[in-house]
Amino acid sequence: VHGLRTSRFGVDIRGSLNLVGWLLQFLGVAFLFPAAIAVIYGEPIWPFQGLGRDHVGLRLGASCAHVWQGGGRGS
Amino acid sequence: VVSLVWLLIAVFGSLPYLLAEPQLSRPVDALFESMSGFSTTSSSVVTDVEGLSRSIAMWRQFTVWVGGLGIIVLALGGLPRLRVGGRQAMAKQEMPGPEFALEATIREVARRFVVLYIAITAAEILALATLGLTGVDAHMNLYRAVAHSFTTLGTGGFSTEARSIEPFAAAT
Repeated sequence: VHGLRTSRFGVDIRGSLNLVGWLLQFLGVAFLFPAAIAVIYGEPIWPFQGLGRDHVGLRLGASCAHVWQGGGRGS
Repeated sequence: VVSLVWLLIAVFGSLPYLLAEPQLSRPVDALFESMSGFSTTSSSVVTDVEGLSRSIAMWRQFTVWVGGLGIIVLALGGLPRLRVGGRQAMAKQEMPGPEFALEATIREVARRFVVLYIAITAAEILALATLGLTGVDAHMNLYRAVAHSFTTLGTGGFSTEARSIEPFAAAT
């Protein structure tokens, strides 16, 4: 199997983290929905707002790590 | 890859419970509720369902909907783009040549599945909300229609009511 980087446990950690980051894009957007419900019913929005902000931070971090590891070349 | 994705998504989904719901303030309870939602198992450690805030209750229902949609379907859509895991290797070894056609097919199937899932959800919300608006079921409102559509489409069992579907009219 060429081109597949795995740890000594046989787990493609970099690939897994890439996939989680990709999925978090969707789940980050998903927080907008309960946030909208919170606004409509006058409930505190901060848990979802905070998570959305953390999500953006995570994505930026993941992107930086991806580029730093050379994953940004040609992709 | 799949195990790590499941674990991290469940952890991520448990954060609203940890931050905003006193009934789920213990990390293990929040993680259980989150994993239960995403796996559409819908077992719950919440003792007072009707005491949940509406936003948290909707997030709970929403995790079932996302779980029903399938983290795996999302992953299938993302795997070819990210070149993650052994699928490419498998495609090369088992079927040398048509890798790009296979990627396009998987992505297209995932896209169609998502569109269909959203359309059926919208249809169910409309049907349930209509029952409420026309007075057939006085207990049904738009919020409950959305919440129950999410949970039933995902084949889960979370409800906004302590007695689940029982308080609703027979037509529902």
